[in-house]
Amino acid sequence: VCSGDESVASHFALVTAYEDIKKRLRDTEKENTLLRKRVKQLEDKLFRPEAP
Amino acid sequence: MALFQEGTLVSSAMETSNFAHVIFQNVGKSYLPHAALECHYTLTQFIKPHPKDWVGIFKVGWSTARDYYTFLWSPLPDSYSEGTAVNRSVVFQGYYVPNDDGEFYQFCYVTHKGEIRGASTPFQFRAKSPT
Repeated sequence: VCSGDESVASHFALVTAYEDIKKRLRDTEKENTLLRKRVKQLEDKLFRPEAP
Repeated sequence: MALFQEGTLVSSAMETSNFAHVIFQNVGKSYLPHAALECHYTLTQFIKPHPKDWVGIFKVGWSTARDYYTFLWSPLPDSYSEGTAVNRSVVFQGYYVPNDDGEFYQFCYVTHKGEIRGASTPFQFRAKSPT
């Protein structure tokens, strides 16, 4: 097999992996934002109880 | 994808379809290190399987088919008629798969001629919270 084909194959496989990891990063960042918000809510509830 | 915009490699854009002749199914985002790993894939009607075709685990960013981490011969279908799609699977034993090393890997299907005919989405080997 000529090295040109192999380099195209290698590039294609890398793009496949890159696109998938990029999507996973987006999902993880979204979850990160949600978790931060949730922690903030719980902290507020714990340390700033409403006056009786 | 700048590679495909270069005039000299215009034909490559069409050849990329060759890289999807084998489709890997239900690839996880991560697998347990040192545990048997089942790999399921479909040979589409566009590929004629050969007993010396193989499936390799490659570190993402590999540059030649010789960069595989480990490999298994792809078993030929029992009754195969040319031009039909068939499902196949191989099981990588635990002692052959990578450790929890923070790297991303992918499966690739390589023909007896050394041509890559399919690449999976990437996965990691992680000791905790497999998906």
